[in-house]
Amino acid sequence: MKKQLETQVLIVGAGSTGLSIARELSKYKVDVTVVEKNIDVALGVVKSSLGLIFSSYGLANANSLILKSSVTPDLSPSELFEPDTLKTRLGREGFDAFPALAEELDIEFRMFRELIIGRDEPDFRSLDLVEEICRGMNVGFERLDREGIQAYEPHISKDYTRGLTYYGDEGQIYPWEYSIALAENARDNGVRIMLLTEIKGITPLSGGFMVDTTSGAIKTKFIINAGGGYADKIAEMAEVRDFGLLFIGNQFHIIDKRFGGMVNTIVETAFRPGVAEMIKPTLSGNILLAGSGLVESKGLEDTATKAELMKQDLASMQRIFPGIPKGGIITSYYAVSAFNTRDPENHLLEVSRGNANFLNAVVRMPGMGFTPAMSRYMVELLANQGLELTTKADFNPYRKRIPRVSELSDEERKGVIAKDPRYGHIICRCEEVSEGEIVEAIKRGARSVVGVKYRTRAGMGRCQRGFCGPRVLEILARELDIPMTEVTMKGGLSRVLLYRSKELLNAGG
Amino acid sequence: MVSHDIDVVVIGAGPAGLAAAIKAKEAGLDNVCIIERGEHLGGLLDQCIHNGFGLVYFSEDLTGPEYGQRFIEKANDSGVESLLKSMVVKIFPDRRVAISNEKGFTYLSPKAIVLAMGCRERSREALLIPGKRPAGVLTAGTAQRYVNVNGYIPGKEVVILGSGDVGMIMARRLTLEGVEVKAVVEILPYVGGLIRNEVQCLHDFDIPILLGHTIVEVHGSERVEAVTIAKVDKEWKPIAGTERTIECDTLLMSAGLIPENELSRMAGVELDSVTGGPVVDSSMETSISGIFAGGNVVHVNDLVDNVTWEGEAAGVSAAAFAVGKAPPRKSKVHLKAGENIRYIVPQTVIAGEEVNLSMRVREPAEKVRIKVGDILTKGLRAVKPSEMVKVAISSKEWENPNGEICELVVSCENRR
Repeated sequence: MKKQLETQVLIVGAGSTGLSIARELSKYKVDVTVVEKNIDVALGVVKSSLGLIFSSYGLANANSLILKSSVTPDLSPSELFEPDTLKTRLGREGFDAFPALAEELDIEFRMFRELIIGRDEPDFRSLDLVEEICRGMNVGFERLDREGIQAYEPHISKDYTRGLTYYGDEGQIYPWEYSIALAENARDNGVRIMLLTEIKGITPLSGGFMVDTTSGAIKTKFIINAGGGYADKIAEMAEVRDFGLLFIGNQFHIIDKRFGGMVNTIVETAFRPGVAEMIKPTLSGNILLAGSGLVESKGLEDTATKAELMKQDLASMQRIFPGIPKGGIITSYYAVSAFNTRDPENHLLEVSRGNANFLNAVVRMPGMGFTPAMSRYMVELLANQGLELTTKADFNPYRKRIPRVSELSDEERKGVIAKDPRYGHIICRCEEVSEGEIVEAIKRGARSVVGVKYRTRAGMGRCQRGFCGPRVLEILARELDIPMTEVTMKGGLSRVLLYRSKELLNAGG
Repeated sequence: MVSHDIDVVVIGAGPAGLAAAIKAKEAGLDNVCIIERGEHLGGLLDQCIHNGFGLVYFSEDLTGPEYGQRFIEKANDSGVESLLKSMVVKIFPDRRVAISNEKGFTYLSPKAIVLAMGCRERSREALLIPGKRPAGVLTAGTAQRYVNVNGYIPGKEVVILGSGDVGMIMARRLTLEGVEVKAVVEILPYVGGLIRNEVQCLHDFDIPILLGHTIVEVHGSERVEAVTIAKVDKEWKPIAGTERTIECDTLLMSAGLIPENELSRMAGVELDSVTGGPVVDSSMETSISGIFAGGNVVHVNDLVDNVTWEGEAAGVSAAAFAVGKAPPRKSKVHLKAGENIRYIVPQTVIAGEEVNLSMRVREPAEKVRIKVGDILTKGLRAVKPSEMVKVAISSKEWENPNGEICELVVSCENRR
């Protein structure tokens, strides 16, 4: 018989939402369990996040306009924003909280200017709309002409003759670094994170639930549904589903660091229905191109990059920044964001109407920036439902990043290598990642090639694992003490090597 | 421990680097140091267990490891120092190099540098092939390492995109391991690699080659399940209606090699946009004085023998530079690619000198004449892009009555 686990709060889903709630709860004497069906944290919707921490709720709203206007064209400006929603309040608080949080978690967090640019009449009408929204929401902005745009972005096409920039810069993080840091810190503070644990069924009890999982039964008082793209299915199992999910997909491209200096700001073209062109610098010094097409998608498994979008995206890129060559793209991916159908413009942060012990934390994009405030809000909701919150005296808010040799001064680097020579052995040439970093990543929970990549950047560079791929595989097999045939890209059936040499010949007789 | 008073640093211990280091040492230098990121000398030769190496250089048919071993032994015997598991992470224009290894993080300031970093394979991502991103998509060279060095087989039903030499060699290698190679898919109307590999690796094993086709979608969420291929038109665009899906668990990429010039770029070395490698003169010197280059880092060769020769030339020149005996590099003649010529290496020569030119044509052609300006003409029965054309200019061909030459147009014309 499998042992039954008892917990007070069961968080379903180890994405940025679930993990930020877990970390917030770890400040209190509460037994918290996070269950995640994947081999690692942050493998779901986090991938579609641009990692932008918006400075103003007005801008966040302006961004959500893309979706709204693509679903329902011809909305009047007054229908496109609501200045005092919960979403805007939490967004503002989240932005204010982020710098301190980034310091506690030792993650990258930097500020960038944002431009919205246009080149023809339809663009200008869209810019008029953004200006109107800004005025309505008291967001300061400056109108730019061609020279004004060029002053920020000398490599932008001169066809763009009008634009605007908001007062105040936007923050940027690595979405997966943030999520992984939250997980590490939550775990350090006593949160139980169960990976490869899929929920099979949920039985409501009086004052709680019995949850059947692939890792055994879990008895819990509260469930927080942070299931992201599967949140509807989790609610369904608990018989409290009163929303559906709508998926919007977008294609992304990463451009070689060699061209990194060409883009300084977060550049968006004026919003048009179904189009969301964005080119921005990433924290790593690459450029990210968010594709031109926002397309309704079937769901999270819809990850295939699309040839027809590829053409559009290249055209967008070269229209906006003619100097970036097609050959500058080092990788492309397609990722899907989830929206709830009951109120697509908003997050569902609530005690379920069907069961007072079941709480929904169904977050829509842009969602990263408001997680610090959202998690506090969810904890307050739990308290309102009777969860006793006693502060832990020994809560440790600090987490240290894995040392990155590429970021260290020569002296620091020598010191790190002297302590552990593996930090001198470079495994990933493009991103300059050492064996020491990879071993530490595995120690901290990486179980797959992707797990190592998200924790260290090994394999994210221009050669796309050409050199480091086999070496990372060897280190994973060695550190996890498993055969190389058991190492996966990202869990499940994604093994890289299927057979030993001669195995097929022997099997064939 | 390596001395910090270094004459020549060679970056990369593949065939080019080994040859350069040996020649530099043989020139009588005290300190020649080769820096290699891998654990052994020899670069990728250890995974090239097939034969066909050294046919020209040694007039013998050797395997990759055998070919490599001859140079490794010679390097060791001649007193070349080597730093293994050591990565050069930076080069500065003043020729300082920053090295990271398990002993620490150090700088060397050699008198001369030879760049011999070789090349890497073009990834699926760089080729912008649409579809899912499952496990089981790897470059042919990575697969070669897994099979020949690690002893693992990526999968049992394989499609190969591109008909480069490594891809064809892996088609045969995997077939011998009991793998079914379902097709080699080549976007061009002709095979990308050497004819001998097409015959010995594909035809002899009845492996289908689909010319004028490409992959339009990769299927499979976790592991490759199939690929969809299609015919392409003259502009290499897939033709609608010609799609067909091939079930497989592995996709190998053998669609182009890229000279590895991250370090060259850091040093400020001028690169040739066609070859992807440094612009070199006939001494294999780059645009930066004292920095030389040879082998696949300069341009992708089809024979290791040629890589060795280029490495040797770079080594000889670096040694001369290190002792202050480099000949003055004056009055350079630029070689310009003309009709049906993609590139020429070296890009510049000196009037009057004996020099070997390596060049590639753009299109296959028969009964052609290679012309180097009006100083040299060479007839050839057939040329194709995958086979390097070599032309030697001797000193007597420079006896040009029409005064000083600044530029020579190299062309490949049909003999009519």
